[in-house]
Amino acid sequence: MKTRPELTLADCEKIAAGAMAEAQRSKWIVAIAILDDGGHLLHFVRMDGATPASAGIAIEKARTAAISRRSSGVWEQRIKEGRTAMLKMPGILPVQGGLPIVVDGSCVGAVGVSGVQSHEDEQIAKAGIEALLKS
Amino acid sequence: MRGLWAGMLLAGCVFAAQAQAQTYGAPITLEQAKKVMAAAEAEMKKNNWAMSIAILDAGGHLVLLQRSDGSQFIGPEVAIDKAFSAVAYKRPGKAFQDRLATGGAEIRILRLKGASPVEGGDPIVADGKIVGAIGVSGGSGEQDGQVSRAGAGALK
Repeated sequence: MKTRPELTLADCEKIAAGAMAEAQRSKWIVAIAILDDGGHLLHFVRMDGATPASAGIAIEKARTAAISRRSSGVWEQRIKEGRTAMLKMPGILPVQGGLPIVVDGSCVGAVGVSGVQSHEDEQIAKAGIEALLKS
Repeated sequence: MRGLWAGMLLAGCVFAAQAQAQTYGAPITLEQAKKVMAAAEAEMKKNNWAMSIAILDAGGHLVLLQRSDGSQFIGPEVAIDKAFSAVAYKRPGKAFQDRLATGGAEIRILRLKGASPVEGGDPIVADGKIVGAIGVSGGSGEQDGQVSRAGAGALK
């Protein structure tokens, strides 16, 4: 039978710490959500001063990446290129800042970040995933 | 018609009278939220329970959340609902739960928007003001309540 890796809470804490450190380096204030591969919450943290809206946005970006197995930025790009029909995809928030977490070829979940510019949000998410993978 | 209005007025008075007198304060800081989480997590681990714990600010928005390894995936959503109810109505879920259990007209609680009449959600009070709420899900109602109260008590 096929087996696949699964994120633990300890893994999530590593991701959140790595993402948090990346944000703090630039004095960025954000919310960071980590979801499992089914798009369900595992871990969430919102820094002081991050908007209430950033909570929901971070979760939705992560859900997009988790259930579609690709970055939320890819969806944004497709729509920009003219595939406006993609706006109707269920469960998809097509805004950069959500990245899938891929371990041994399997998507084990996703990170979503909201609070600064979208490409900066993604940079923070990427730093979180790297913190996990290099640990 | 007059009877209906009188009934609605009475219902309003009952809810108003039971609402706690505490006012909302500044939203909980991340540092305060981490203290609440640590206290709740300690209580959970002491009992070998696996749960989801959510902490919301005074506006009912998520600040901090964690789900124990292997626990049910709906846990975070239930924990958020319980915390939302506690902060929006300024009272523990158990207060609604107990009233609901008396039956009769109290089953109207099921119709209250955003209310979670289940033990395991409590307002977080700091310096006499409500700064947020904690919600816990994953155990029995009593177990969730025990962990939730341990967390909420951390700032007192």
